Amino acid sequence: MKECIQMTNITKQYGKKIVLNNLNLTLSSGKIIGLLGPNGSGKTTLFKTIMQIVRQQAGEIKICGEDVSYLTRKYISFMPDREFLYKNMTVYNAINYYCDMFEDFDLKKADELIQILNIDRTAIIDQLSKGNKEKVILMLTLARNVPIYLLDEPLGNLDPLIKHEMLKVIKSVSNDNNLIIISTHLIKDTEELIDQVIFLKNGQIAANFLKDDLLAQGKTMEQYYIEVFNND
Amino acid sequence: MIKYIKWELFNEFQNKKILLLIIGIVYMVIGIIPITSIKGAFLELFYIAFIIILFISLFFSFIYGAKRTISSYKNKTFLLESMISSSPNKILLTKYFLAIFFNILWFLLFLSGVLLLLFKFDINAIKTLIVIVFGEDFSDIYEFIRTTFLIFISTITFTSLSTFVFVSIKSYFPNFNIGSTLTFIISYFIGSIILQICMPIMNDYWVSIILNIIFSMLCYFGTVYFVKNKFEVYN
Repeated sequence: MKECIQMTNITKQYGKKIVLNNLNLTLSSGKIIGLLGPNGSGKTTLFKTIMQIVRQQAGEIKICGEDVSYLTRKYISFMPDREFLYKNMTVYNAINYYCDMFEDFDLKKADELIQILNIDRTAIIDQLSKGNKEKVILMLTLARNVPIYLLDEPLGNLDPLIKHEMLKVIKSVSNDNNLIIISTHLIKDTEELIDQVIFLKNGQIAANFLKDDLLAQGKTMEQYYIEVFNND
Repeated sequence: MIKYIKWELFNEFQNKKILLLIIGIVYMVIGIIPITSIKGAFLELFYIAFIIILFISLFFSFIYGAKRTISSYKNKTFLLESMISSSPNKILLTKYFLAIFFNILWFLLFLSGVLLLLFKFDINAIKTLIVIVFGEDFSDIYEFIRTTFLIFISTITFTSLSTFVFVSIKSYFPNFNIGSTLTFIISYFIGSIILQICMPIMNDYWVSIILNIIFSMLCYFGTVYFVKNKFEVYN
């Protein structure tokens, strides 16, 4: 297992609001990690900081052993929680665009994911339902061959069938050489999938544990989540 | 980058299709209908629209590229751009290329309007219009080309300066909501100061061109530095 992300004393503020507060985190490949926390706990900012599309005010980040910069983006495939593609793109156009922009984009893998997720290549992305849009973006994100995948709220407000398909696809991409981090509120939906759980509270790590350790204590993730966040 | 250019162009034309259609219709009506039949409020409206289009396209041929480049840092597709680890130098150069392309496009729209006038009226009307707009009589075609080239180079300088101003302000004050108008005002102000400083040597045509290019390059490298190291995707 390789060390993929190492964050030391990371602080990020938006104006006077501290979003990440002296955060320390080390994550290795071979796992699917659930990043959980209430709204405003800093999940998206944590992802954006790893991507360096927002910059920390203090602290050090290493991605695959390299100091974080725009160059380390090549190690990360990021699925943001909002739309970012051109309005008139079809799925086919988006695949070609990704193929042109990202050297690590794997067309064969994209084909397989399209099959599993049952995506129509000719559809205009902007005209798709929210669930189908999410499927397309997930397909584009996972079709890249990178060591780190950051999925920001990939399952929000989706119907159970689409959720099931997406979870299946995420599981199929996971291997010993990559790290998948999913930020979500949907504890029950992701419980099956994830190996390690990180609770983020007020910009700090409130808990970081292996799912199996928790299960050994006879607790579910949801129970523990309520325990941690109910104290506010 | 070819696909990036393709999609930026496609998106732009999709967004502006109604405006381009209106311009097309107005130009067509002005071109087709003989002057003798120009009667009534309806046709007058077309002529008013035509004059407005002429002025807008001339104005846009100076400013549109800069406005577009600034907006590209605020659009949702910038998030997609930010995911690419490929050099921001290359992307910024492409943005400049697109800015120049759109400036030229608006200038061509203006020029075709002027040619339409030439077709409808006589050469003196055009000359009067040119004197009004440029403040100079371009009977000498060589002088006209020289001046057009200088203006063209200046628009590139303005694009690179305003982009630099926008990106640097957003880098140091990410929560400050700066729009393109304020960026232009600040850029114009900075540009005027630099122009004042360089005035003694700016009288020479080629020195002006070279200074414009040097200044554009400085702004270009400054912008690339900020995009690489400080600029945040804030939208």
